Amino acid sequence: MKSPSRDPEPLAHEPPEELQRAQEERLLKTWETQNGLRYWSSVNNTDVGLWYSGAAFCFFLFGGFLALLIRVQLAYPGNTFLSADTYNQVFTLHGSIMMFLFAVPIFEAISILLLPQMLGARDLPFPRLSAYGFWSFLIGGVFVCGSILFNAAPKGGWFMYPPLTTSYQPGIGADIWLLGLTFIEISSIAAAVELIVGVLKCRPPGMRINLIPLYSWYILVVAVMILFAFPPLIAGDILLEMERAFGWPFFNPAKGGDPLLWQHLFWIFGHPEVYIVFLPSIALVAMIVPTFARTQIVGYGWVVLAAVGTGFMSFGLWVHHMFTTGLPGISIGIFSAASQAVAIPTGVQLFCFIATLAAGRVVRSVPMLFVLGGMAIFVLGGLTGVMVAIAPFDFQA
Amino acid sequence: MSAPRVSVSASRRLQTSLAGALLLQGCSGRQSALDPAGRGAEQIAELYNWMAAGAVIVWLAMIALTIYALRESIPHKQDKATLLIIGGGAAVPTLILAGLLVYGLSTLRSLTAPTPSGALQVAVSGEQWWWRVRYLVDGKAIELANEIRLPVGKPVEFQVSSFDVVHSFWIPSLGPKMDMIPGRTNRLVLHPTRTGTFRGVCAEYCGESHALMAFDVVVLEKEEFAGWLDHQSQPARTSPESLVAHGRESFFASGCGACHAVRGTEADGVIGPDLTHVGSRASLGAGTLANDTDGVLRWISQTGKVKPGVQMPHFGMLPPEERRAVAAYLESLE
Repeated sequence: MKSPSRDPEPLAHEPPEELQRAQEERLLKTWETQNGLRYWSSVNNTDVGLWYSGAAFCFFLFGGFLALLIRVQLAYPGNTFLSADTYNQVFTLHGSIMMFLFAVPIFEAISILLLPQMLGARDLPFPRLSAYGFWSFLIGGVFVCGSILFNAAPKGGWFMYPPLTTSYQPGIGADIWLLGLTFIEISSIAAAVELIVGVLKCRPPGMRINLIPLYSWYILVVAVMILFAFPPLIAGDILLEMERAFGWPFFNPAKGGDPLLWQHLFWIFGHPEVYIVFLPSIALVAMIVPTFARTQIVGYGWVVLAAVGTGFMSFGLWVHHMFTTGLPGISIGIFSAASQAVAIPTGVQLFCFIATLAAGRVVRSVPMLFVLGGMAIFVLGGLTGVMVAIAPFDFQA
Repeated sequence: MSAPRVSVSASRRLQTSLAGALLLQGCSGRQSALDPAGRGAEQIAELYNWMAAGAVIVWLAMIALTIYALRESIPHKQDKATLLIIGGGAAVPTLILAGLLVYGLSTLRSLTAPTPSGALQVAVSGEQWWWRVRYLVDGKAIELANEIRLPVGKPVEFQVSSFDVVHSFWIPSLGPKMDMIPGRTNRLVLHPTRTGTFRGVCAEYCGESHALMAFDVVVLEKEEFAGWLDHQSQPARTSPESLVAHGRESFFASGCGACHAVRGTEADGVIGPDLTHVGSRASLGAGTLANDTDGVLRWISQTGKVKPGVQMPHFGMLPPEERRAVAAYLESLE
């Protein structure tokens, strides 16, 4: 029985040759990359994806440069290379750049670049939205990074805990962080909307959702996670800025607020963020492994299930960043158990890759070697992750 | 500009750490969670050893399996693959994690158990960037700063809070850390099991001089501790020495008493650390400088340089002999 389909039927006869040529010319003209200044008005995913990746990579280099400054300062005790104040600006900016201007955007950039090609589409569904996201990202990023040139960078740590960032750090650093990163959060949400609709609506005829490349599945999961993880942070940013600018006491205990409110808002974003960074990387592994093992992925359904499961579970773990805040034992126990449980879907994914390697004849090319090195490091990181998920160890770690 | 040595103990620490690396003794020391001197730290160190050993085994097994999968090419069979994926990826981890969870939660239970009756009560408040320590004995509080002494073999309950920003109270040698959050009082029970000198630190980034917010912890025999606490509860003693008397005059003339208290004198400030027995402490400026004449002089003449962002103004404008007299007075406050 043939299932009902909306896929277009092929034409009965080929159109005449000159018509084909004319159509092709018109098509290429429409999609041509513009020259000169007009190039920068492009909204096509290939151009925007390239700029986006380039910009994220530049921020990565800048963040790395700041890390070098940190290492020089820490080379020996009592070093006077950086003043305490500058050092605090450098490490706050380093953390914020790596998290908000590199780790999340680079995956969005690569997805904007690759996803349509992978799905056989000409572009993403909302090209102007991806261009908007990119420019918003660039403006916010330059704004935040540039602050250090004026000795006005944020210095409250990348987690910006109040009351340090509300009442104890005069200057505009924290405002730059809050306002600048809101640009980036908005661009992340824009890209997330784009990628969700892209995966769901821009598939070629006949490619049902259970046939899409695994990369697309991971991107779908991550984009949905962004949609739920970033709004609490934006809300927190707005509350913190209102407290700073207008004295609304959301986090000030003397006026009835609570500093822990910020920690909850921040980490309910911050923990899914870990998987927002992790899943796209494992998505690349899920494509590279079957390619270089020269076989189909073993356990496609399990990988998808595990990715979706990781996405869901990642929203129930945030309190493990707050194990030492004096919460009751029962809350600590529940979040400790949940934090360990997330290792299970991860284990399923790794074993799918191992099964694929076993089933195929592996070509040991550079991408494959990167994947193997990455797996060794990742398993190590995952195991220490399980260790710190055990609350008592976290108390001393 | 000559590089001022921020901490006298810093170079010593560097030497110790270099020597430690050479002798493979990196895990011992007065600030090591793996060289426990308290019940909590012992339990967690044991937990760590088990987990670390287990993690090494799991890691090696995963690597071995990956290498095997790379070398061999096994014809794909659906049911075998499912068995591997579900068995290796889900069933085995679930079993291991369940065991680990039971172990971890039982440790958690004993770490967060209610305070045993008769425990010593100490209230510690984190302030940018020092520790206000109050021993609660017989309904009254003995206020000290930046140094905690404890009797061995006796539980002690710390009631930790914060005056300004979020700090975290951590003595790795003795046991878990606990955050100090404005508007809350958190409880932490530690149980020292051997005598010695340890180092506590602030474990939550708290501003400019967060790295210079430490304190000394001395675990003493019970009688020795009782003697020390009794001595600390006494008002300051006066010394007849002329330099000390001159320093005392200068101390009050310079207005130090507006912020600092010296019990038994008219100095009753509550903003800065209590100085009644400052001379008896191991370090100055919350673990920043060694407590000797040199240290005191550097502290009062270059306060902001030694500890950036500190609220205390420096007194470098006093004539050198006057600073020396103040140092002599502070050192006499034993």
